[in-house]
This record gives sequence, structure tokens and C-alpha cells, in this order.
Amino acid sequence: MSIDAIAALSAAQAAAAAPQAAAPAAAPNAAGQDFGSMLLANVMHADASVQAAESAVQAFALDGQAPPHQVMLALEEARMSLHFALQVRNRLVEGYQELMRMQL
Amino acid sequence: MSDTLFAIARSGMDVERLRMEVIAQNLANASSARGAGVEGYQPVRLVSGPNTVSGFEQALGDAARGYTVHAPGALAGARSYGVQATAAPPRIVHEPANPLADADGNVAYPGVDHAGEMALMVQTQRVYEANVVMYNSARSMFMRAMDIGGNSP
Repeated sequence: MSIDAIAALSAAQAAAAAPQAAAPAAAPNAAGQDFGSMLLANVMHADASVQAAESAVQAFALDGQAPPHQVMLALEEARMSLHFALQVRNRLVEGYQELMRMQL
Repeated sequence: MSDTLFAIARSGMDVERLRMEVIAQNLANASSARGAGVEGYQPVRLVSGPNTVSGFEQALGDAARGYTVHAPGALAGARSYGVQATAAPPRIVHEPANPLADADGNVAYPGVDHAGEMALMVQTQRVYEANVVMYNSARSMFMRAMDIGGNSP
């Protein structure tokens, strides 16, 4: 995928930064963290919230004991996380395409 | 999403839903008479208050927000402390035909204040709606923030 390409590009450009394998769910806001792992952590956060929403909907459909607002809040949170990840990806791809269009 | 806006609105909705359950409990038991010498239903109230956070949690929240909240326990939403029985005396009704009546023909009903319960129900509903509007407003702010720099040439 192009996100991997971008991540590799940014990792290659940051020569001073230590070579870092894709560490899942790294500590947020840590200084000296490269962009790829930050992106990966965000994507995994979005995935976790989508899974939480899915389990909330399943529990609600099975017994209906949970308050409906909690189900809707979980769904909205999942939607917002996904939207955020999607927007970050859009900006990244835009930047990548801008680089590709550059006349050398 | 670790945004305080959504957490605060969620805590308000949780508390108001619990308050509605307590009102439903009172109204459901409003006309359940008690026999002589038997402890009957006592009307209850939900006790709620601001959510207080500990010093460590507050420091963590300040670090996550990037600014410091000086009021102790601020910006953490609401929480319910529990259900407390009111001191309302039982409503004594003279019903000699009732099998639960005592020697004088009186029956004790729970001292549920119907008008008060209905007014509190409407108030609870309005506060819940306000929390929903608050959540939607915060969500539209979040979605607006997503539009920053979009489709830029």
C-alpha cells in the first residue's frame, strides 16, 4: 500500500532517527517517535474502537439490557476514529502524489 | 478518542438515565400498600455530583490536554453516588375494606410525591436531551476540524 511506501520514505529521510521496526501500539505523544509508528498506533486505535462498537451492538442485540445511548456513543466513537484515520490517510496520499508530480 | 468533551457528555447521559430509573421505581411502587407493622417501600432519590478525579488522574488529564485545570476535580463530568431513601412519611388512607388495614381501618401507602416525581421526570428528560445536543455539537466540531486543509490545491 501507499501508506507503507510513505512510511518507508519518511523513515528513509529521517536518517538521524534510529531505525525502528513497526512497534504496535507505541506510547502516544512520546518524543522521538517516527511518523510511521504514530500512524500505526492511530490506525490500531481506530480498529479497537470499531471492534468495541461491534461488541456493543452485539450485546445490545442479544439481550438489550445495555442503555441505548451507550451503544450509539460507541458507534459514533468508532465512526469518528475511522473518519480521523481516513482523513490522515487522505492528506498523506495527497502529499505523496504531490511529490510524484514533481518535475525534475 | 480521549477527548474530554465526549466523556463529559457521556457521563451526564449515564447519570440522567439512572435518575430516570429511580423515578420509575418510585412511581411503580407508589400504590403498593404495606401491612400493619411491615416495613414498606420508601421513596428514593438518586444522589449525583461532579466527578472528582484524584491528583494523579488530574495530572494525567492535564498532560493529555496540554493545559492545566486549576479547579479541583474540574472537567470530569458527573457521577452518581448512589440511591438514598427519603424521609417522606407514609400516606395514611382510611380503607376499612382493605385486607391490609390495621385495627383503626387505616392503610399506609408510600409517601411518593406524584407531582414532584413528574416534574423531576421532565427535568431529567430535558437534561438528557441537553447532553445529547452537547455530544452532537462536540461531534460536529470534531468533524469540522477534519475539514481543515481538505481539498487544498
